[in-house]
Amino acid sequence: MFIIVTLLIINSTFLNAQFIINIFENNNYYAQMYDEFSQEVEYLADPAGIDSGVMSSVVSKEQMQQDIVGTVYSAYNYKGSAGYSINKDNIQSKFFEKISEYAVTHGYTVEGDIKTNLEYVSTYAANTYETYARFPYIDYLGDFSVRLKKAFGIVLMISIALVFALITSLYLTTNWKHRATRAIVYALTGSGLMLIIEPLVFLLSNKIKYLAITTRSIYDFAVGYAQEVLFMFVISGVGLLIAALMVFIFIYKRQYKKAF
Amino acid sequence: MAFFGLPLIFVILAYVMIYFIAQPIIKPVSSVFDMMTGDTIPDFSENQNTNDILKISNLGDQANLISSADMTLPRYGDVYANLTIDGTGVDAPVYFGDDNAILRKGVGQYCGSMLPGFGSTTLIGGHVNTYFKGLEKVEVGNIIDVNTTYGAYKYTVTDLKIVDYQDKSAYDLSANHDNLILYTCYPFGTLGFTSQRYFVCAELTSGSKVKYTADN
Repeated sequence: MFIIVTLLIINSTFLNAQFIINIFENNNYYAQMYDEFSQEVEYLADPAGIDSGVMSSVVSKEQMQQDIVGTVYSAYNYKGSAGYSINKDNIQSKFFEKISEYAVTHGYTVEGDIKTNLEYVSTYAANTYETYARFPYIDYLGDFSVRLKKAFGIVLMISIALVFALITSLYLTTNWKHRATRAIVYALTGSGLMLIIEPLVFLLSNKIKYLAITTRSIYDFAVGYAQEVLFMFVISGVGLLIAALMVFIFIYKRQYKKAF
Repeated sequence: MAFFGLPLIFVILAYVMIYFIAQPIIKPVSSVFDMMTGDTIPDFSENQNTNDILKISNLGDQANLISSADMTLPRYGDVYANLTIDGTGVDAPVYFGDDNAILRKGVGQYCGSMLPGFGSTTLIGGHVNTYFKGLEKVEVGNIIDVNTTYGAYKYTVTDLKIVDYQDKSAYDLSANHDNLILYTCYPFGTLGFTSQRYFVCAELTSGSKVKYTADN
């Protein structure tokens, strides 16, 4: 039972793109990432001799959110280059257009060396955008998930069949049905405690918050992600304990009825 | 009692079993986790990791040789000196580190180069449109003043170079004498990212040597 629940949790967290998207939404990831990108683009404006604010409004918040979500889903559902891709050429031409306008209004002619220099800036800005919009290591994680999902399904089915077979054989090999039910209560309680203890110790130790990540958006995501996974273990454990309690009450109700 | 005792024994046995089965990977995993965690919870407030208060102690004025044990070495993001070149308008705080955020606030020393007085090359970069705009006025023979938190240093400009941004021949980080290299983008007064760099090379003319001791 412990293995089944663990597999189910892994399947709905590590191997699930929607789980990542939910963590993004709960931790204000899009807004934070957009602010960090805008800040980085501002830093590019300084050496390029462009005023503050000119480059920061080229890409919209919505566009970035769409690209972040698109690349995550794509990584978890498609192999290789199939699926969603960030339109970097479009981003680059938007940046070039904006800084060319700026250059013209400041008396520069956009040709020759100036044109080449501005192209460098727009290419660099587009590459920076891609770095920020594509979640770190998402392609590796997605690829790993796609390859693991099939094997996971098989292991899960085997585990469920095994538990079912054990419970059936337990009932078939004894005449004392309440004893078999009591054994199931032990198993449910044990599995529940196993799911709760270790994650709870980890959660209470607060160790996750010490992750040495220097980017706020990624840090908040990583902490939120780890906490959410550990909470799922604890909640599932509590669920099993409640199930054990209900079976326990059921046995005693029946015994009580028999006695009187 | 058995309803709690037996599952508890079951849990302990199961954890022991998992521990023995997973033993080969427990150590590597916990080592990786230790590498990924720090001693403190990260602080993302604006002023983190920077020390903008520059305290010039001029240890070198009292003695011509400073022990590194007597000085506080800068951490990444700390401002540890002020750089001026008379008659050029160059007057900038010097930070240890040279990322984009630092170069917005001043000029930055490449961390792979040496601090002044340590007997090798100090490589400092800055933006051409801000703190190093005045480098175009620098001439051979000009004096560069670098007032650090541990002493005052004077360098004399010996050479000016214009090289491709990928060309690393303009400086030697393994030099065994104190020298200062300032660099910025070239040409001056243009827009965008350029492919050339302007280097100002200078040799130490006065300032205390730092003797490195293992205590620091």
